[in-house]
Amino acid sequence: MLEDDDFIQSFVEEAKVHVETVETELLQLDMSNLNAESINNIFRAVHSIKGTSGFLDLTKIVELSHAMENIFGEIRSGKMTINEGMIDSLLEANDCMKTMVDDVANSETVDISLLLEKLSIILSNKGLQEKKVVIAVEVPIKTLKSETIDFTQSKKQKICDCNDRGQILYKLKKNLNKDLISNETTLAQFLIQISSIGTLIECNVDVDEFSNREEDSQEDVIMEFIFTSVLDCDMLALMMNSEAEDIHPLYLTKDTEISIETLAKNEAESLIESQIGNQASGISDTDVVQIIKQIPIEEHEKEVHTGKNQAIATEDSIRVNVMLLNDLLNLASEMVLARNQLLRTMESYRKGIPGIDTIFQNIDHITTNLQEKIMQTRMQPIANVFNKFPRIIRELSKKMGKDINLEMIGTEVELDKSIIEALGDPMTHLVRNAVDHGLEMPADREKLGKSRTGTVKLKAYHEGGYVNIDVIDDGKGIDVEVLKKKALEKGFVGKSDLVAMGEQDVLKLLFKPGFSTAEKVTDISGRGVGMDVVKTNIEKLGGTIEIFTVPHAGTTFRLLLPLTLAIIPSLIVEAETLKFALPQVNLQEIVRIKANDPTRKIEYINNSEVLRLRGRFLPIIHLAEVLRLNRTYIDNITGERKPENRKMLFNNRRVNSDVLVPKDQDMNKGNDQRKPGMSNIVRILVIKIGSRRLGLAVDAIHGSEEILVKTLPVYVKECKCYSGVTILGDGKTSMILDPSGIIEKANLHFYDSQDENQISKEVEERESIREHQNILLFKCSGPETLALDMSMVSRVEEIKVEEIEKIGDKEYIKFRGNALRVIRPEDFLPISKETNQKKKLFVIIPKLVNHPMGILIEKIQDTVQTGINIRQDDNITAKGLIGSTILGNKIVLLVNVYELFEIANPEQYKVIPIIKKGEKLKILLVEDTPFFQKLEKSYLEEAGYTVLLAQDGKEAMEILEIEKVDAVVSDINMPIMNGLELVRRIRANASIAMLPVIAITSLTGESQIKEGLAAGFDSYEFKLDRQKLLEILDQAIHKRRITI
Amino acid sequence: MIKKVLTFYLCGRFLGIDVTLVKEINRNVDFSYVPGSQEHIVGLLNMRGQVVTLFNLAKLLELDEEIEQRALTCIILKTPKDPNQVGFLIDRPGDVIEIDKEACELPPANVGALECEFINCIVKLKDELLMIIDPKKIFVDQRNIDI
Repeated sequence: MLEDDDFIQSFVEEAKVHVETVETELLQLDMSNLNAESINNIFRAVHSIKGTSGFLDLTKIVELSHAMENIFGEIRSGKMTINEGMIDSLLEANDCMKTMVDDVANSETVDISLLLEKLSIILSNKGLQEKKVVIAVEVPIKTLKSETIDFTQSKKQKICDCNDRGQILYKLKKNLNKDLISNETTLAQFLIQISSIGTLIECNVDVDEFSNREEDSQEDVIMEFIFTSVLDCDMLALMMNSEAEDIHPLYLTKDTEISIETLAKNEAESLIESQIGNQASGISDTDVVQIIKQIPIEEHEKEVHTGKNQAIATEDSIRVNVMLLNDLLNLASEMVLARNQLLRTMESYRKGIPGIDTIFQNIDHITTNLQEKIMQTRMQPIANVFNKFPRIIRELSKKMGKDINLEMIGTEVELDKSIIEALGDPMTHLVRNAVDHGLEMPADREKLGKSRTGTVKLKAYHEGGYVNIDVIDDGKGIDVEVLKKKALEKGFVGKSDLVAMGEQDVLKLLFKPGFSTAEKVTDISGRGVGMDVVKTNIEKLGGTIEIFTVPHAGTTFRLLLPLTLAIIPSLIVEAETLKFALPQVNLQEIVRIKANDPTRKIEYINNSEVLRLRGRFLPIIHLAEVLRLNRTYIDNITGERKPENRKMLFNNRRVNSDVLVPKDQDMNKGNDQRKPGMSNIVRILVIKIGSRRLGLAVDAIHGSEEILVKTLPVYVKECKCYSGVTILGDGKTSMILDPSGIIEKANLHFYDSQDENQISKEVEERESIREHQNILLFKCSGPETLALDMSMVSRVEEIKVEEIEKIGDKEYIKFRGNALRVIRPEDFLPISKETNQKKKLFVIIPKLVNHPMGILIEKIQDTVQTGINIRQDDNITAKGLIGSTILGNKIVLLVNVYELFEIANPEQYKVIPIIKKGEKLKILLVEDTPFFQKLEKSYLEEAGYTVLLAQDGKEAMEILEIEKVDAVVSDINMPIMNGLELVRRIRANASIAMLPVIAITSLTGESQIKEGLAAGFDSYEFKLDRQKLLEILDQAIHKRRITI
Repeated sequence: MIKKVLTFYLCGRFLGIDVTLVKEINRNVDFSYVPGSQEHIVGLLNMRGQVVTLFNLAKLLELDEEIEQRALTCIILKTPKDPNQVGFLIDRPGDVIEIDKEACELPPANVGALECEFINCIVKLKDELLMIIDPKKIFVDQRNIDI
């Protein structure tokens, strides 16, 4: 029965696509507003399956597809309306079809009787909508007539033969009286005429139309001639003295055996197809296998629909075996290597051969392009993963009684095939989780004032060389407190650790194996059961996963995935002359340790080497030792490699080598010059996997390379230290190191010493997060150096002394057509004043002030980026100054622009205390940067607020627990607990949830503002506009007060 | 039945392999050692972008390696549809000779069990004996042994 494997194979591939089409289209059907196009798509897909399977004798598939086709035929002709119940049955049938197609060989054994019965019930119910039939038929026959013609076997053969010779099948309509007899042409003559230009296939009289006619009608008899010819429509019309619109080319589909059809015009389509639908029911019963479907073509569309053009409009994609693509990829990378070799070898001859340079460049360019393009062939749209979710969501919503709306964004984003394939399971898990645990029941949603329908959003987009996939639900969010309780109960963390853990850290507990917060583990998902698997799977792909959650607003799982698996950036390192590639994902930093460097040295705990790195121990292991390579050293005298017998290689590096001298110190002094591997410098790669960190000592580092990952041969799998193989630029293979394998192999035991980790992490974070400020350093006439934060500077203008005009005792310059008052800081600040005969001066135009004045200065010194520590024991205080700091051994005075302006122009800059008398408002200011802390505090205090200070979110929460405040002003970027988390916690805490919270930050991105507002800030202000700050603070306080 | 066999020398032995199983013979191969791999694996070789695992046939057959000349010639096998390409080092290749099935015989009883396992048959040539190895048993089955 299954004779030709190739045919079957291509049928299966084709059918799979069709089955998928049916599924997606079915799921997208909008009941209230049926789209004819999608019904047509489904119909066509089912029809194609039926056609090909019939040809291949796959009777069960034919039966099923036939039954489905009948239903869709009815639907598209409008004889039947589709409803939810039908879609379920049809989906079921489609699933069955999928199973049969997947396993064609056994498709005959599948029992489909039940399905067929269901489908036939649906079909028999159509009588209810009989009325619509009439409407459908009433369309004007002249423009939209269609019919099917059955051919006998011999005629079919004839058509095929003619078609092979390049002849096109035509149908010509003639009125017997008007066109022929009145022109004195007999029917016989006309037939001969046709035969002279082509092959006559058939000649019919349109009996249907004739019998429908009124008896006294004087109308003509319409003759139909079906013939083939090589000539095109216009030529034929000329030759036969007919109108071109009477001649219709019939398009032969590639399954000539099954049907010959002209492409249906869109608007006519649904009607014509209905006839096919009807016709189709008769087809499998009889032996007639040919259908010709035809529609008259309106004149203006003629060109588009000629047979020739149809042939050109073929598919724009072809199926290619993946193996072939992989081979191509291999060859392309090999080509790159060959090119490199060629260029290297030819280097010395380049000058001798004229013109060779351009050729080389060309080859260089083409090869690179070629490789890129081939990489692209492996890219597939993420729709391949997303497309199964409508179905899953539909089923879940049925099962759980939740109304769910699925949104998919960015389905066109492309990822490497291997990633696409591996993404299915983790994504399914996340989506299920979102539905099961994220979304509330409709009734509960209503109570919370949300719409009954929950939304699950899948969003794919590019960001920084990665593809991000967000799985977003607008459900109840993850309750961090519940999580914490659970984690304690299950013993994942200690109580003391928990206090120090930020929200992100707590959320990460979800990924611990065996963690589940669901009260009951449902059959759909138990959050936590499998989340660890999701995480490992994503990490296997070189990706990471992040969680964001807002109580009662929803949860977002974000997957960050590399575009392609095949190429990864990595560091090429060397140990004992062998080269290895270390994926850079795991690499944190490289530490270079020179011999005899007292600040950085390797120390010993028993026999283990450790490095003190920023106050923490870093275990050091040697790559060569893990791999059991024999250590060698280069003999200083002979330059040979000799086996190294000593064990503690670093002992001779000790600076204080008196007390703790190891035994082999007694060795010959000359030996101390031994170099491990290559040189006297030890290079340590700091590798981090999760919370585990280790230092991997290597002999040399050869720089970073983008390497093409090849799978590890099975024969070397058991080494554990490798994750793959690659081929380096020199054409040699090199092993790709697997850091977790190395940890395992080196027998490293990591303790979850949270306390210690946490402390050093905080230190580290403080270091890195401290906002670096851009400071403008300048001098006025005196020797003092003044400083101004760049965020307050709009621009600096160079002016000549003559440009300054005096009006009264005030000085003005012309700036952008306006008079701008300029002030000299030395007039108002306690700094020395000298008269210099400078010709050129500078004016600083500040921003974020209401009535700008220029600050006249004499010299711009520098702009520096630094973290400012305002001296605590500051005794240089004055109005107009924030304080002083030391930069590069010099005292620098920080100018407070607002105060300065206030002194210079008291009327306009006078701060009107917002606070009414007798009212006391307490503000909690959360800010880690001392400079801003001081500045903001002064602003607030001037306005009459009482200010409490906190260094970070954690401290702020502690203060909030004991103190009652009226509002919180917080920075976003802070160590330990940042502003976003702080505000989330405030909003989550019932007793302080209604507190006005304002963000004052230097993060000015649009998305960051959004994120900030989403987290719960009342408003979001940039650093640092005093007036604005006070205004919005006032507004926020009032607004909240009203709502309370 | 006449079969074509590629002969080669390894550790003083005269061995043969069905020529239809051989993809190519490479001289002066530049392979890289894989630290931590089993000792019968010599290393990995880049054959036009494909990674080939090179075996030490002498070790597998427990031949006396002392006689081995460190010439880096290798035979790479055809492994259609298997991504794991394999090859093995030899001392030097011989000829492709035609042998008659008649002249083949299974190893006699006193030949060691290990050798028996890897040897397909022994060919009685005019003045010497030729052992035909069975690469499938040696290399493909190696995966199971490894595990």
